[in-house]
Amino acid sequence: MRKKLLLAEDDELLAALLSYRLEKGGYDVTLCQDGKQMKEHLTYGIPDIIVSDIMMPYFSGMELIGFVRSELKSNVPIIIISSAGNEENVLDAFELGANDFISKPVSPSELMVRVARELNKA
Amino acid sequence: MKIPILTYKSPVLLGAQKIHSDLLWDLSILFTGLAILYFAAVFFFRNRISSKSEQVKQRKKELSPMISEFLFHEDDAPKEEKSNYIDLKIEIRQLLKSDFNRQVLSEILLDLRKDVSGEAQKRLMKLYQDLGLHQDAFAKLRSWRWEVISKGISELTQMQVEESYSFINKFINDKRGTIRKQAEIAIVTLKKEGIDYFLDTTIYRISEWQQLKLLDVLRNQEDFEPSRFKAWLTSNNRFVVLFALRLIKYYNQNDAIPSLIELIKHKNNQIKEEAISCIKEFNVVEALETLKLVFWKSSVDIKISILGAIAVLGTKVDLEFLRLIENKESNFSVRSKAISSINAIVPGSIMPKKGVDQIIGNQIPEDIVQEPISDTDEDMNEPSATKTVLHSIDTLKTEQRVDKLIEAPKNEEMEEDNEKLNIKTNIDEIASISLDFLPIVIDEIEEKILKTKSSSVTTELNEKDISEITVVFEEVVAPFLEDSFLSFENTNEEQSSLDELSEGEIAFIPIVIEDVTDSEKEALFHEEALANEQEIALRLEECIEEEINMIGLEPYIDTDVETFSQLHSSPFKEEWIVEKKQDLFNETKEAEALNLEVVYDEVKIDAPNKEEGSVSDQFLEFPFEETFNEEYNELDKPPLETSEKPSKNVVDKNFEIEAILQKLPEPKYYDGETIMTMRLLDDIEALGDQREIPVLKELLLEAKTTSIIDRINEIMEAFALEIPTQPSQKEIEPLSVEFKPFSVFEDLFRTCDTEAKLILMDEIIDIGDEKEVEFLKSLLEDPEIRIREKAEPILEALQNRLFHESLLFEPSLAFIDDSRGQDITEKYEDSFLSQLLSFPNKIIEKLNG
Repeated sequence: MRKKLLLAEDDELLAALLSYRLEKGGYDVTLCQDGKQMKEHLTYGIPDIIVSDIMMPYFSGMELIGFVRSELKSNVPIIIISSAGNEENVLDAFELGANDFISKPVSPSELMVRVARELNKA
Repeated sequence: MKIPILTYKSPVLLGAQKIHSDLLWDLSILFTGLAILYFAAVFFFRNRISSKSEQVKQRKKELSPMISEFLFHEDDAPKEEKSNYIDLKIEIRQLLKSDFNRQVLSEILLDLRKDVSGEAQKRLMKLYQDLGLHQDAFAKLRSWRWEVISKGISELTQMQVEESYSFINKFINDKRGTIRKQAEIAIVTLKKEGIDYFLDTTIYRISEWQQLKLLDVLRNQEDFEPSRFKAWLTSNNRFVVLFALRLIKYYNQNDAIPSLIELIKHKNNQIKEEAISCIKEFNVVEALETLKLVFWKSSVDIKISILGAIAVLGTKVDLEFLRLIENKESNFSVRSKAISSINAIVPGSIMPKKGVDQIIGNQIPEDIVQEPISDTDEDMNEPSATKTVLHSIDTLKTEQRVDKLIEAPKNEEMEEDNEKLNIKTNIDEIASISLDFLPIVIDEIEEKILKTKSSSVTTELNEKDISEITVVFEEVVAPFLEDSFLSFENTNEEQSSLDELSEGEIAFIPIVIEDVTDSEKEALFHEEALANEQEIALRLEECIEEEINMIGLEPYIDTDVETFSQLHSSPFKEEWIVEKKQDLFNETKEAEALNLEVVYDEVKIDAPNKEEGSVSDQFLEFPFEETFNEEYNELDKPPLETSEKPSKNVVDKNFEIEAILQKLPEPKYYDGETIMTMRLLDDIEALGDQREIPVLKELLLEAKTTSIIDRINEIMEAFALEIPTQPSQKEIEPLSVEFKPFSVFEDLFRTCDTEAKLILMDEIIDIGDEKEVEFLKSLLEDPEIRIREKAEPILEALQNRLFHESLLFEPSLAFIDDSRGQDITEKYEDSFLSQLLSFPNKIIEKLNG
């Protein structure tokens, strides 16, 4: 059975590219353009893994982690995508409960490996 | 004349110029129109831009999955995916015909280039070029608009289009700054040697920001091997020199020291400062003199830099120069720096003066014994230089004091006083406790220690770590080495105490040997070598013993061999060892040979009955015997003498040899010409056949000696015997199949139609030969009736022609009997003449005239 993956990325091109790669890798990818959409999706059901950009409109990646861990009380693995040189945000994200992070520019192959690893851990 | 009608009245004293109302209306209409036009234009362009951006966005959405498909397509993908990929290729080719689509594709790829890394990024760049989008960027380079050119350069740089290097380097000295800067970054990015080209050619200023960007590009280049940047220190462009200095510093290229020293004298302060920085970084001590020379003419910043460099590189020799600056320099910052440099070279040489509280007249608590501090007053009033010298002396004295403190317990007087002993035992405590409250003592510390019965240490002592104090350890020498090599300088008491120590107690102390004479060294070396050789000899013997035991034989023991006790006493130990080794080696060889011989003897001699005797005989006939003999001979040893009789086998062998010798023919001796003829005959016999009979007959006529005549006759007889013995049909068949004559017509007949074949058959009569005979025979069974019918007469005609020709041009027939002529001709088909006859008839006709 294909694992459900929720991908939140405001950059449409990158989102499309990563989505394509992840789908090709055997995941059922749901794509969200912003935090609001993501929140809506999460209220319907929790996926097997979440991959989210930190900087997003309406609802940032940090808020998303807080929402998942505090309100939804879910331990779903969360991988965050951050811009290079944004270490402070990454540390905050880890404190909030992120499982892993990958910095931009993203290597799709690396993302695949990280997703697989987090799912194996879970 | 029309009088204008005023529509309003203004106050008399204060009023504006009277304007006609029509004009006002006109102006109002004009401006309203302009406003409408403006808004319409804004509205129009806004809509146009937004619609275009919407279009681009929409197209990006459409094209991005295609790009993803191209990027992540694998060669081993399933068939469906492959067919889909091919469809996409066709589709994208169509899309690329539109400029708009090309633009959108470029944008997508450039955007993704920033967001992805790794393999995906490489594929992206490849795709950019595969789609031919770099051609658009090249087109941009031809634009007259600077922003378009700059964008083109940027695109080509981002997508790493290396072939654009030669196009972009033209812009490196462009008048327009943006293009120039973009080109500089492109040049350095696209090729590793780009930095060299840039530094060689640029004539413009390189801004600080640009230098940082270029350095960043270089840092991120994979496998970048920097050039030796000292080459650009001579550039006429001072910005190049400055950048080269920074690169030298960054890549630690310390091979440009003379140039760096020269650049300290540069007029430009930036270069000068950078050169000083490099000198400081690379510790160029040779530059100190130049730094001092340059100092007085330099600006304040440079002076401070120079002083900073001197602080790092300088020694006490440079203190004089620094003190001169301290006294002469008017600038406060420079003076301060000079002082700090002095302190850097000799730490603590200049102490702070301002704001330091004087300690004269301070109340000393009663419970502490007051010490005279008369010198202190003088110190405070003295000039700084003098004070420094005194301070240095103080430091030295303090060190002496510390030494004395440690040595103090050694003194007999001090030993009597128990309290003084505590100075040493509690010295760690002294170091750790703050001693500020103690008086400063300059001279005669030893006496003061005796008097005050307390530790009297200066304020510097508490700053000094006790671990830094030099401790003089007493020398301890092992007593049992006393007689042989060592000389002692210790007192009798120390010696007696050492003597009391057992060997085990001082076992941890290394044995130290001093001043060993050459003869002693030689003796030691000889002894050591002897011991090694003995060990080797013993090991060798052990090994041989083991080996012999493994073989299962008792070793060959020489009773005359000296024992090792004799060896020790022998004056020629080395020679003896060599001899011994050789003996042992021979012994081993003998043992090996002996082993094989014993097996042989056991089987032969110990056979008590017939059966075993027969076995013995079989053994003698075994081919191993020869191998054994060979091996035995290889041992380079004469056969072992045994008491047994010579074996029967040896006797039989001699008989065989004699029989063979008897069968051998007697040697014959020929003269030179006969030898040559005999050799020729040998060759004819070996290589020739019956075709050589005519030649042999000729030779027979010319032969002079009987031996040659006999030999020729012998060969001819042998050849004559071969003629009737024709190979059977079975033997010929495979040969005929293998070497079937090839006819050109056969090849032509395979491809042409019946009409053509019939025409070709006519030609066979004229130009055909033996090869065509076989071919025509095969045509007699051709499925086509017309060919079959025609083949028969042609075959007859050809055979007739060939027969006549063979009669006319066969000289070899003259040597053959008439009765056998026909048969022999057939048999001699493979001879040289028959081969000649197989030439086309036209050639033969020509030969015939």
